[in-house]
Amino acid sequence: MSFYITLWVAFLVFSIGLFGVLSRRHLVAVIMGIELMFNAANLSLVAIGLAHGVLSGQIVVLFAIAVTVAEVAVGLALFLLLERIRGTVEADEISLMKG
Amino acid sequence: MELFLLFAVFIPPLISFTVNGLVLPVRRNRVWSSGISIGSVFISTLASLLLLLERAKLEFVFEWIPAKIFPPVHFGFFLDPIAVIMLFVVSVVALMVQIYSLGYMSEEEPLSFGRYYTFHSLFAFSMQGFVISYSLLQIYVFWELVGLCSYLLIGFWYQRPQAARAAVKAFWITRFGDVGFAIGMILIWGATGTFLLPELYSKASEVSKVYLLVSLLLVFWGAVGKSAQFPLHVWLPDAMEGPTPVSALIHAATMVVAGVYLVIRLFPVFELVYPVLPVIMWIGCITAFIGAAIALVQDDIKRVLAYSTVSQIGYMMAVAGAGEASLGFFHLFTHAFFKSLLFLAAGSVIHTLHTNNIWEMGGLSKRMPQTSLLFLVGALALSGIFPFSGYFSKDEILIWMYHGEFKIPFIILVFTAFLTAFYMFRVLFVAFFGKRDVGKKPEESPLVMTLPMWVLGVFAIASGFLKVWFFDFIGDTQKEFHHTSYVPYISLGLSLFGILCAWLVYEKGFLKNLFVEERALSVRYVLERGFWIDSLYEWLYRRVLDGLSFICGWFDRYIVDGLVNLVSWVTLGLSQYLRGIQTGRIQDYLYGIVVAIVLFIWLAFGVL
Amino acid sequence: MSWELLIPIVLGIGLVSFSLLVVLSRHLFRSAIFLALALVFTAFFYIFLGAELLAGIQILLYAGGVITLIIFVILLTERVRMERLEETHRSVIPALLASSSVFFALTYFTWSSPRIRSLALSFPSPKFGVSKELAESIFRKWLLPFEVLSLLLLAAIVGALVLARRDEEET
Repeated sequence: MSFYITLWVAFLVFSIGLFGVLSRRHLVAVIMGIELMFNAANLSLVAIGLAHGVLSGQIVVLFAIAVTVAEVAVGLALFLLLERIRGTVEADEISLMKG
Repeated sequence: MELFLLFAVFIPPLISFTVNGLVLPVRRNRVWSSGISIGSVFISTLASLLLLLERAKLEFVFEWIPAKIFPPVHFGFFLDPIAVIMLFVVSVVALMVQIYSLGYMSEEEPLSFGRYYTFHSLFAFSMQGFVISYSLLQIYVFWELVGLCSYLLIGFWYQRPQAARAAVKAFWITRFGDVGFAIGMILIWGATGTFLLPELYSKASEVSKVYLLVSLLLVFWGAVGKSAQFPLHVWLPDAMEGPTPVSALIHAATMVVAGVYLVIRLFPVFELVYPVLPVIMWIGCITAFIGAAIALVQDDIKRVLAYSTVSQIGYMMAVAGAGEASLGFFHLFTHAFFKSLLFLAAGSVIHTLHTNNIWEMGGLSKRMPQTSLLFLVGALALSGIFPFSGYFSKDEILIWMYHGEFKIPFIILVFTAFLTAFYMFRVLFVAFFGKRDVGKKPEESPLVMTLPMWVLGVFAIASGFLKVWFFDFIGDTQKEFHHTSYVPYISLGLSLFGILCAWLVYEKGFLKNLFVEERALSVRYVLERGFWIDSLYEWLYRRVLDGLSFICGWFDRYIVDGLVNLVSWVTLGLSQYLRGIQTGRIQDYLYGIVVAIVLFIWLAFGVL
Repeated sequence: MSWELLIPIVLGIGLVSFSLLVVLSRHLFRSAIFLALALVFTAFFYIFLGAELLAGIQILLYAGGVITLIIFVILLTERVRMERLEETHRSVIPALLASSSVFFALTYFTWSSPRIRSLALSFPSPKFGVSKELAESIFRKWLLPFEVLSLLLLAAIVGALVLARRDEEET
């Protein structure tokens, strides 16, 4: 049963993160939502790896963490650049693709 | 070995065309361009002569368009006696004409000189390819290629508006026929599923009669256009705007008889349905008569010869339609030599006098003895005087018509033979033997022009005596030759009578008012207008086609364009609504990803 | 109620509530702090699942590095107008619908899936001390991905530097 509880917690956190990504205005807040989703995915990976009795789950999570860190670093640098060029980090105000 | 010889026949001209066409320095150089072209045709001639001596028979087929959903399209070469003889004729005449052109075209700029030989090489290749084609589709391809060469060479002096117009006219009218050919070919293919000639011979009989009749008449329509038969003969006289050697090669000896060749090739199929052959015969008869009649009043020496070509091809078509294609082929064989000889001789005169009008010539026999003699040989052959080649072939045709119970065609063709002699000797007496002084000093052409004429002259005399060998060669031996028939005497007598009439009228001035000066004479008026066939086409074009085009244009502008505009208007309107989706905010796009995620979850756990 | 059930429930309640706070908090700075707490709770979860090495890395990299980076960026971008740190939400109802539909889809399908059920039945009690095994596995079997990953990190560092660098003429 603890397996299911872990999974549900992970799903819940994933959905909360999704909600954050969809609804927050500030881009840094959006990236925080993405971090939450990443965490949820990592958590379920570890749980499922444990259920299978293999170590690969943990290793993949290890790699995922590293990739996430890289992604956050580049993303935040992009925000800095964006802020400098357009003077805003509001997601709604970046709408060059408006049809 | 035979395959090698076959390739040696038609590949060298292709190489010559490629080299001349792609390498500019070669084309710019008179010696190189003409040398390569003549050399390649010389190789073809040798190879085709060897094929002739070997009595080559060959079938070589490979899949050209492999296909699963429809029968595969084949490409192949097919050598039978008819093809071998035709190859030989094409190569020899092409070689002679190309050598002759060295002299005739010597005043051209080097670049257009090279262009001339480039086109000639392409023509030699396409004509030979046409002759050895194995499938109907392949015939069509080369058929169009020779049409293209004809167009290019008629319009060779494209700076002259008449030449450009004549080229376009020839192109359009032959293309009008080719449309019929293409449709008929595809109809036949649709019914039998094959383009290959031998399979067509066997499978065509299974097709329903009416269907086959329609498709064969359409194919014949293509031959009508290509061979300048009534009612599509109007392009050939205008095609005389091209250089005279071109007229000799393409518009007398080889390309225009492609239609006859097609009829001969498809003869086993044409035989299957009843009214096809009579249609061919009657069209041939009408053409023979009309061509000869119009030739009576032409003042342009080349136009006389052109109408004469129309008329002679009518003979070939008529006898093919009467059920004996090999006689038509024999006439094709002899006609190729003497008609190209006549054209070359006429070209020799034109080259030195720079005029086509026979009334501006006169007394040429004194100053140009060789040319005059050769023209006389050609004229005698064309008129069918013993022992020149035309006598043998034409009389075979007449005998067949007489004994085959085709009385009315026989009368038409015999009368045409009389007209033929008359118009040929009209030209001869006016231009060559007349004593009028036209104030010009013609000179005999150089050896490079007279030598090919002599060669063709020998062929024009000798080819008639090859009759027995010829029919033996093409395997048509069971037919009895009516040696004892009195028909040859009739036609010979009529031809001699025609010559006599021409002599009386144009040499002695007998009835001169009637024939030469009285322009208002109604028959003459009709003939000069060419039975108003050109005018009819012009009227059709101006009134009917223009009206149709106007209606089509209106339809296109308001209905077709209107539909297109409606579609674009609807699209624009819908897009106006749809663009609301594109807010440009990333989070709105994310909803699409969410939908995809739900779908993936369902796929991963619910389905799989 | 056994420990086996109690610990995940407690940890889950903590994790979910901090996550909610991250998303709902109207102050961006507080969001970042709550995110750090949520990450720490995830680390506890890892320990419960027997992945103590991962827990350490999680705390070091995430709760340490990433959160610092985020706070740093918040301070850099909002240095002029601190009032903009007051955060509002946009289009709450569609976002709620979408995220809840994802949640329900996940739970429903994992609950009904027989494969997940068999996994749940074979769920072992976590055993500790696998770090050595993990390290050996990384440096033997997964060496190439590991090294490639280091390249990726290097590229990320250089890229971030280039992007964030001010141009000479601007300063």
